[in-house]
Amino acid sequence: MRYANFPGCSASTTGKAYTESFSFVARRAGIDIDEVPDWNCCGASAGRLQSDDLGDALPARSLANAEAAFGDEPVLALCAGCYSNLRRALVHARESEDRRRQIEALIGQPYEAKADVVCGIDPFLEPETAHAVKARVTQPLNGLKVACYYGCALVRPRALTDFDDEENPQSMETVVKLAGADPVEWGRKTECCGASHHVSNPAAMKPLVERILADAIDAGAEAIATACPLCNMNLDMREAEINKARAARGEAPLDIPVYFFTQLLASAMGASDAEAGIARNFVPAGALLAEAKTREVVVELTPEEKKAARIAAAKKQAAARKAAQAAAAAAPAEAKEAAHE
Amino acid sequence: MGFCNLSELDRAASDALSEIAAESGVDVKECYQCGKCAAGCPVAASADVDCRGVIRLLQIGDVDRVLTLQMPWLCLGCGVCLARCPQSIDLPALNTAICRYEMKRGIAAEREGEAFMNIFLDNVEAKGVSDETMLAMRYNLQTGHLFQDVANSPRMLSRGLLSGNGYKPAGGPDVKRIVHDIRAGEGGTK
Repeated sequence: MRYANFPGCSASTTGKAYTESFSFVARRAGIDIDEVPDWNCCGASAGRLQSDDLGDALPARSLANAEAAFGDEPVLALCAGCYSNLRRALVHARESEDRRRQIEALIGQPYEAKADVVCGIDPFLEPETAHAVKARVTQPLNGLKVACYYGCALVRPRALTDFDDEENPQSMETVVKLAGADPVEWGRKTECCGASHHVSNPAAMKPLVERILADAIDAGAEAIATACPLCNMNLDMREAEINKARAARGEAPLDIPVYFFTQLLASAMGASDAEAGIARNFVPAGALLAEAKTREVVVELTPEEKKAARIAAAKKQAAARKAAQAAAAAAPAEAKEAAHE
Repeated sequence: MGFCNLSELDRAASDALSEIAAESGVDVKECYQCGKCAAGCPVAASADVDCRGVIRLLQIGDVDRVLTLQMPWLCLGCGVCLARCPQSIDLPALNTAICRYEMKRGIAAEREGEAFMNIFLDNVEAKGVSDETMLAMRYNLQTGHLFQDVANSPRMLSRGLLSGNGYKPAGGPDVKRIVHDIRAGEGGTK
């Protein structure tokens, strides 16, 4: 599968580990990447606060560039914020011919909204790609319990993102299973981490981060997987200051590493810590993966599998009894014959 | 809340309400105050008046009070409210409209939110991309939150997360023109 990648402003900064680990996996899983030419900032939260026009124009310019170079090749945005804004411009242009023309006028370029915009999880939902990843997993994570954290921008508003369920998505779970991880069910999968306020109101944001970390741990997770550089930085970088505040209140620290889901895939596919960008994690993250790889795999059967196993075992026992009876019936007959002789 | 004259509120507020309704596409009369929005809102606990309350105040015409609230600026745009509202009321859009209404009149209830937006857009206008370091520095200086995140900067720096690869679009001048014209209110439609 081929995609036109929109890096966004975070790709070479807060999203570096995401970019690195995604590239590692992509090269080995048949994902081909073009780069959107001359892309510009999607506008983040500021563009769409200023006006609907700016909220559409900034992303649309990059989409128009991608279209001019690659036609209807899907545009890939790893950053969930960029994904949300690009989808906004795309859907507005597709929904209304008038609006599409207005957007063209605002950016001074033709834009026909031909290409879809997909997020970082999408490529791995293609059966071919998932199969290729699975085949290259040489160091599975042996049931590492992972809480998949989507954040808010990938799944809401549904009218724009059209990706997975707004309340209980499952796509990232299927992807981390490819690496041998065991996703846990938990309640804060899509609850906003507050990253859009990380400059203007960090005080309001911290309780959101704390609840997410605490809930993941309560649900039995050993690690959190993310798909957005802003969410990831928020959860990973701020864990330390949250624990400092907890210590001051006499509460135990929340100790849980935070990974981009592609870091889990890359590591399971044999990437070194450097190749998977693990050194960039704030909460130490290398040891847990190394340890998970040494675990014995415990295979838990589903109820159906258990029933089938019971039936098979019962059949085997019955067959063994029958064979024994047949052998016992045959043996006295032989003994009688032998006795007669 | 005390005593208020609903008829007076109604008369005084109708222009403001019309503008906010037109901007957001929201008809506040459709809300029957079930509270699913506030129940799911991640910032409801920090809000002076939660999102259900904001709509209620607009319903009775108390726009003046709404324009002083932190809630519209606290809104993260996460969309849980809209996802759960049985009437599909676009609360994020409503909050955005209230913030825009305030900024147009220079009465932003949260100066940090407006400052962040302007500094961010200044950067994008100038460079075509966002520059986190410049953004943080200018923001801290302008708002007086001088030591915000100062402890985190060295940690980010040592992990190579601050300095990007120096990318700037060659079409920077185009981006500049687009951003400038829209901010100046020229040629746009909304």
